[in-house]
Amino acid sequence: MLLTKKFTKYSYFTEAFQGEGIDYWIGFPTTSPEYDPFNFLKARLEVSGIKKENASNNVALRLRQKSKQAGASDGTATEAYISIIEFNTPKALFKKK
Amino acid sequence: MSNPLELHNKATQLYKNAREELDKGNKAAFEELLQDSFKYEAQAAELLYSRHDAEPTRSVLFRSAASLAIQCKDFSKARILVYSGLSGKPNTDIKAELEYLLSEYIDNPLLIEKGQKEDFTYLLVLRDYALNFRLQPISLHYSHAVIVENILSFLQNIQFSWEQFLEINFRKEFSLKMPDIEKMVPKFKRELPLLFVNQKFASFGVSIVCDTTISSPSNYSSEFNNWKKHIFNDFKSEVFLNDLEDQNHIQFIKRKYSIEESNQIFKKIIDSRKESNSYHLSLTNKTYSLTEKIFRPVSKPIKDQIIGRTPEAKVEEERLVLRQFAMVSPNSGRKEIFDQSIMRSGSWEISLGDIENKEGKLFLRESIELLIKYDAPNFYLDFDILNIHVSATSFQEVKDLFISNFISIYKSITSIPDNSLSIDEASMKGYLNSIVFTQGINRE
Repeated sequence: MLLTKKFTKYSYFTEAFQGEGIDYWIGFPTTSPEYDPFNFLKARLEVSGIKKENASNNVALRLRQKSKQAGASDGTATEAYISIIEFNTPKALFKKK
Repeated sequence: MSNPLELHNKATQLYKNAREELDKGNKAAFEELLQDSFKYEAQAAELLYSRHDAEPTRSVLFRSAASLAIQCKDFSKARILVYSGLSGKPNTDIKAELEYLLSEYIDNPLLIEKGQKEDFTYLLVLRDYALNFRLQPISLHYSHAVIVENILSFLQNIQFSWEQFLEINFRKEFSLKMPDIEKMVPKFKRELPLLFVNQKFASFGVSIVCDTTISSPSNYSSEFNNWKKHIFNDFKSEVFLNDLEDQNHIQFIKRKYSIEESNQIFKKIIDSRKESNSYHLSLTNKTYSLTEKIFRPVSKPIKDQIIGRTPEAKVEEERLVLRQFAMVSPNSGRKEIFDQSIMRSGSWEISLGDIENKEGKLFLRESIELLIKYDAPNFYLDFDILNIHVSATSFQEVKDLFISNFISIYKSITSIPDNSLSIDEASMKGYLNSIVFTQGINRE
């Protein structure tokens, strides 16, 4: 949440139900002049955590995997951000897809 | 409450409450809250029905409401919600997700044919806690198909490791607290089987979990139930999620288990990671599309610390059960064995006309039908009416144990006055009175 607030214009967080699980969505808070009561979900936030990095499981690899899952590159996919946290160091990566 | 944001926020809060109830084992409360969550999310989506410019919110809320409808088993409403979402201008990724709901959950002919929709919510919940494995062949001789033998071997290794983990940890926790622990071990192991809750057949993906809270029967103490709730997570963590090459984790294993115990828990899993295997093993996300951990072969120094240097020396002599096929030979006229194989599991139905051992004899009004099961290396007999659960290493021994328990329970229960019986004891006494004709004279 802190990274989202720091690196994007969004500070509203919520979840939505997707088949078997949930996904995270971000948008403008109700106090913002850009808030739209009928379109409050602006971008998807993909969150990933790694307990401790190693050669086969690290932030860079996870970013590559998440990036491969990107939608269409013609601008018709939803705005999306990736947040990867590694807890042991600790370190974090926050990137727009 | 009449704006989509408030309705959606209410829906997510209700869903969190629902999951809390499910974690506590309150299935009825979970289902009620799930229905409420669905109702609010559907209302939020329907407020945007005519607002085709409100993307991505419009299609995301319809997708979200459809997902909840599926969890509530309302598949007709789910279909309406998906088509409502598609009727707007969804972004390409959300459109694909809406179509996926239709093909995977709502219109899936396999689910419809096998009537699996009724158990859908149960599976959805268990998938959240499952280990998601993927086996990928090293050689592409058969493209991405994995050889069945490798799959079976891998699954057997996990099954074995789980059973050892369960029994060893159960004994550590309860051997001083349960005087009848030997009776309890086979019973509770059968109540906690590993379950398949999802699979995929391009390479081989499988999700495995043990249901330790929702539907496993339990007449046990709260202490045992609390222990049982966490045992599968402990297994996941100790055996798969923590790094076996991490010295901190090795020290944890050595403190918790003797070398014999850690050998029994970890050896088969380490075998599944061997360099000589013809597949790669990894953990993935729920849809098997994202690798979360690759299992590399365990180094020899680590193997020596976990499973010992010469595990083969610790293998005990194994009793075998042979299945033999015999027929009368046309040449000799005598019965000859023409095939035999080692049995790893099986079952036999037997009928007891009367119950007798040196403790006493009971004449029965009718025969008791029993089922003796074999799961190498033990034989098992369960007789729920009298809460008899016995196991032994031979067929005759398990039968003798049953008879001994039966007579002991008969003598004990029939000596208690009716007004002093508990509900379970009254039920047992009712059964015994109906089945036992009379007690015989003790031969001694």
